Amino acid sequence: MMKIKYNISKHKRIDLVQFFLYCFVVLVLSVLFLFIGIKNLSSKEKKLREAKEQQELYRTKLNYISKNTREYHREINAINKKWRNKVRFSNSLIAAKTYDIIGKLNVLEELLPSGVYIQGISFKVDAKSDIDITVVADSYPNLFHVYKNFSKYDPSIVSESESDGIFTAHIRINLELKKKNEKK
Amino acid sequence: MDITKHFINFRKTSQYIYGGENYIEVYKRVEGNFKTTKTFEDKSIFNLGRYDIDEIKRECGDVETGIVLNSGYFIFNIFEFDKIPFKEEMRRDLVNWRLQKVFPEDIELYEHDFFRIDRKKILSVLFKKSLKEKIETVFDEYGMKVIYMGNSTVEIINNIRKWKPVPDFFIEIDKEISIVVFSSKSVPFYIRKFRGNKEADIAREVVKTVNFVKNSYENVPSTYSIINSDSGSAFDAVREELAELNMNEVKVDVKKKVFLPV
Repeated sequence: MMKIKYNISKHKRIDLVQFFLYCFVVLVLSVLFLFIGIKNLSSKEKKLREAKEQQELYRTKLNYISKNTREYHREINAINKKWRNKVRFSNSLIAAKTYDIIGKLNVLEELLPSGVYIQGISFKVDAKSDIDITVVADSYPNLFHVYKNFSKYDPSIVSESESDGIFTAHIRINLELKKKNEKK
Repeated sequence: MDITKHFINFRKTSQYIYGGENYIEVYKRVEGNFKTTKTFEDKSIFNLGRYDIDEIKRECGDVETGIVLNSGYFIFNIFEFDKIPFKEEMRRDLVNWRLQKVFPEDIELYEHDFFRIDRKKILSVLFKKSLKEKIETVFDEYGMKVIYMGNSTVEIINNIRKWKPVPDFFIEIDKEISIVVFSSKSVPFYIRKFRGNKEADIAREVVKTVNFVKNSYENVPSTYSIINSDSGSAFDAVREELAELNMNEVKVDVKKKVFLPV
């Protein structure tokens, strides 16, 4: 409970010493708070400035890293491209090396009936490319037999002619051999 | 405003004139304690003659003086509100409104002061303006500097709150006039004043008041103090009656005049 300040005298006087002491205390506290406030503000400003500097430093670092990253990406892409080309070339070499010419010739030989001979053959070392064959037959039924035998290799008759009872045909087939491991 | 009230204190004096029940005493501060330097028997502070005031002035000198009056002519009320307004004006209106309900006389004739003693309680103190002016006129005429005029019970309430332990109630006895103040955590909640010069009468009234408080309030008093300006009286009858009610006395240091402002 607060002190009851009961005084009904008309000549009552304020305790000035105590009053000014209170005022002094309030003033000191105000100055103290002001000082603390200013100090806090200045320290906050300093911290803010430091933080901004730090932020700027990080931004510079980030820019540098970004720039480096772009360069690295460019280099990686160049290397990637170079290696892809190398791989593609290697693959083509592997494909050429593994191209089964003998196998294909064997198939052609087996499919040719008697009385039919290969006059010319041309192909590219590419498993998927067409084979151009020029065959001669002593009779048309034999030539027809050739068409029939090659029917499963999507043959297309480029030209067909007959001269002195010899039938010549230029056929294009797509002969793809199944790989040995695929057979398995 | 309450805030300014907290920071403004009134100047204290080094001497007080105590206006007791049919006697006047002059107290002066000697070695930290107030001591009686002169007693004027059969004198009332409200009815001083030329000779009396001369005597008092001679005793007090030109030093600033305070007058402490006993509670004989004071009226105390403790009002409880759900919420006490912060603004002084509204607070005054509220207290006046409540006072008018219990006090039939014209409030304007009284010096009415009130104090917030708790979050919900207000102590209202009334003293007749005519009596105050009477004292002031006499002392002013004789050029005495009275910078304090207060009440003994209020000062006891102020002083008693610093005690350890604080008694649950105190009985202030000044010859014929007795006042019992009950407090909880040093905040007064019930005040009763009665007249009676015989110890047995005082004891009976005190017991009656204690029983009333026991029945009407949640607080059950168990400790008390007796404060009397007349150091000659023992009030054994009061103590005996209270002992029967299992009340313990918190002894008062007679050297410390608790009815004077400290």
